[in-house]
Amino acid sequence: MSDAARETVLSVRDLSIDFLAGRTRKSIVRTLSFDIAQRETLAIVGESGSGKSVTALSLLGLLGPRATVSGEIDFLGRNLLPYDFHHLTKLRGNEVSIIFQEPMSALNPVYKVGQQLTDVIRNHTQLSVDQAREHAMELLRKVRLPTPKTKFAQYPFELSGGQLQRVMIAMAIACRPRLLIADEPTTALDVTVQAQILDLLRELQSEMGMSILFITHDFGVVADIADRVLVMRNGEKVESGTAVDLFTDPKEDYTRELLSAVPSLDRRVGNRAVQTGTDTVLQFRSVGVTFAGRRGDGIRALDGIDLSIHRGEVVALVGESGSGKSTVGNVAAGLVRIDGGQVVLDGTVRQGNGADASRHSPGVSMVFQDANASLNPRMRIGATLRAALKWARRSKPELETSDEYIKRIMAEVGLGADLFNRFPHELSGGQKQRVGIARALSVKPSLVVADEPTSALDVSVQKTVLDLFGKLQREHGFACIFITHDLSLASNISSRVVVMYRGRIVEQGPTRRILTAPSDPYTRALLDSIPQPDPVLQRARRTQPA
Amino acid sequence: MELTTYSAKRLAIGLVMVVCVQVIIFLAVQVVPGDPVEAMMSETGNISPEIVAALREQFGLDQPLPVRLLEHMRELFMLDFGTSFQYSQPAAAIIGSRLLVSLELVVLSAFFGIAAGIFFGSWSVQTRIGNWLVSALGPIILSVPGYVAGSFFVLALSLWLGWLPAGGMAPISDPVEHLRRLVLPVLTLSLPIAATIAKVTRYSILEVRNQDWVRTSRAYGFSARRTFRRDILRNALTPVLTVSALELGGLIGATVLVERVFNLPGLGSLLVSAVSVRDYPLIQGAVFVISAFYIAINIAADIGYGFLDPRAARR
Repeated sequence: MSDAARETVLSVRDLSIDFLAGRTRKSIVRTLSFDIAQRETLAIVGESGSGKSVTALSLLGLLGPRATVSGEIDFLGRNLLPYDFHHLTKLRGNEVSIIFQEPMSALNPVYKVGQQLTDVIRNHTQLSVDQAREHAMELLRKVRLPTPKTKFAQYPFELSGGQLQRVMIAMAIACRPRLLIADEPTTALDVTVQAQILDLLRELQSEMGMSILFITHDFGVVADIADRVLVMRNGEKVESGTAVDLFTDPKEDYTRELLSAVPSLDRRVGNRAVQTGTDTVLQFRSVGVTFAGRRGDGIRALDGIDLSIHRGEVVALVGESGSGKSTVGNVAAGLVRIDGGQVVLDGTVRQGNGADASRHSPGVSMVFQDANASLNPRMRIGATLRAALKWARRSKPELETSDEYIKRIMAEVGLGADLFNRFPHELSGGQKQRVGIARALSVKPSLVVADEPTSALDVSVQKTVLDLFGKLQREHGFACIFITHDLSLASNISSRVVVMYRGRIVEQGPTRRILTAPSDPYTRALLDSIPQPDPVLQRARRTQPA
Repeated sequence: MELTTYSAKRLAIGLVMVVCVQVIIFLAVQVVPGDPVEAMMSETGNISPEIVAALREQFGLDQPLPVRLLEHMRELFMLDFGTSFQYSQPAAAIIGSRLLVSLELVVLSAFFGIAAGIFFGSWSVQTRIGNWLVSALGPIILSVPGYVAGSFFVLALSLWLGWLPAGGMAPISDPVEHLRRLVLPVLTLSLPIAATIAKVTRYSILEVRNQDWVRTSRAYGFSARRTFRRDILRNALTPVLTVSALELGGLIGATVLVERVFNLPGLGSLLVSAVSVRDYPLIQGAVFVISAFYIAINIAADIGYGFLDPRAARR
């Protein structure tokens, strides 16, 4: 594995990065040092604000004029600091390449995929247009882009996220770089796609012998791909070491904390008793939903969904993007029109194609994925909560709307009364999501639809928010549809799991059964794709593919 | 391929729009009380009812409305607008002679206005002077009405400095003099366009500049100049196109005043005089040409989108 005789490709010493914010300097990274050897993968892990992405961008001088970078960045014996932009232009995309988090926006939407790839090749080589095209086609085949010939002449918006990330990788390896910087390259992708992309990177690395600097917040991904790991917090190194050492024997408290916050598949399964209440809150009877397409052709978002949720139970709805899991939540809340079947909520029937096919259901409240976007930036927290209560009072006149009641609810989710008159931008991400939970709780719902409520949060914050949510659920006893793409998370919070794929339910059952003995091949594929935060286990899984 | 069907669709829609506009204009003109015979009568005084009836018959005003509408549409598509009441000449010929002057004015002003706007807009994000020019001078230009600016240019550039002729038109057979006479009106018309386009270009660039693909372009070793042209300006042009199309439409209206100030025999001044004497054939002919032009601009802009943004053609 790690070989001491290997050449050091990148050596960073005392890297410090300051940003000019208004008239003040803000220190983002302080005296960071690390090395990457040939063929080695170093993962920098950290939560948002740790400075990991800034570190990655600084290596290529991509931080813009407001950043001051000092220290030493030694790439193959050449010091890149202070930046010599003429030299950097020759280096970028040539000897050092980078791939980004959002493949959808990393490519220019107005040029064809093949052309963008060809442009990059021609930028660093003397190849003719035809030769460059040929090389581009070769690269697209190498990154295993399906139907590369067709895709070559298509625009980015015609490709999926995973396909675009393959194109980005093709771009990155076009000039056989010595170092590849991967800045959260799989964060925006589904787990099954993530697994494929990680496989591809590993394969290309062993074939081309490049080093990889991998930026991520996901310990599962770290365990899967990294040889060595560097943990960062608030712009400083917490600890570093080989992946195996770090996972088995973390030296620092912070690392231990982070590792224990990672939701893991098999740790807590079975902790939650399976609820067998017969009191049904919500029932779907062959519910169908079709969204109008651009040319009149509809997209079948839900296709004959049968589902029932009992009082006091947490059901995890799991699936990849486009599976229809969010649509189920929206139908439950009465936000989406159904065109087939019926929905029974608290004894009230909603018929497909009826006048009431979409109607707001007073008994349902929602917690949204993007807590920030779900709060009006111009309304104080107290006012936001009161607005929800006033609206709900139309159907539930017994609800209280007094400041005292609102403050009591806020206290319940761990928000101090001093936040009552604050604006959303004054709150942290975790606090905003607590407001979202308080809002959902305040109207005394019989069902809460939580749509990926923690996927925008850091793992440590995610854990506390999840714990809080679980506690409140047990205390208040509302039923809950917990929508998530993360099976590990589902295993921690739910008593039942429903797996969705392309608008259908492929499998449902008690959490423990789904996780230990899945009967559907798709569920199995989903389970196998989740990278486990354990490098040894991960390596074992890799050598014997399912 | 997609773009061809997209363009064909736009063209078809445009054609339908032209017909609709014509029907609306025809009805609007008819609904307003009074007709050209009455207008003539009020000028000449007492005329016997027989003569009035004969005149009405001669102009076809005695027919019922739907018949006149159909007849009118048939004639329009043969580009026969009828005989001008005022000049007793085919309206099409009169309009044709005036159209060239206006078209020249509009096309030149649009070209220079838009080109200068994109240039200054791009410059304004790159330098302090450019920024100052667009942010400070732009609003001043926009707040001065065209006829004031036009009069000022006449005063400064032709009366005081004597560099350029003050107005009037020279035949195209004398190209130098012809263009010399166009400089001031084109300047007057294109300045506000340049100011608007510069501002739109500036904001559009500032927005596109922060997009991820611009970072990608830099990260893959493209020079600053290439990144600007390939990944910033090119993408920033879409809103510029929208505003350009709107500005071009406004330009047709603006020529009326500028033709007055510079004493140019254009379509605008013709239309104004035709309306005042209810010269139906002339009004309808002129409006037909102007609306067709307006619609053509919009079609061109829509097709332009298809080129600028491939996603537009698929929607």
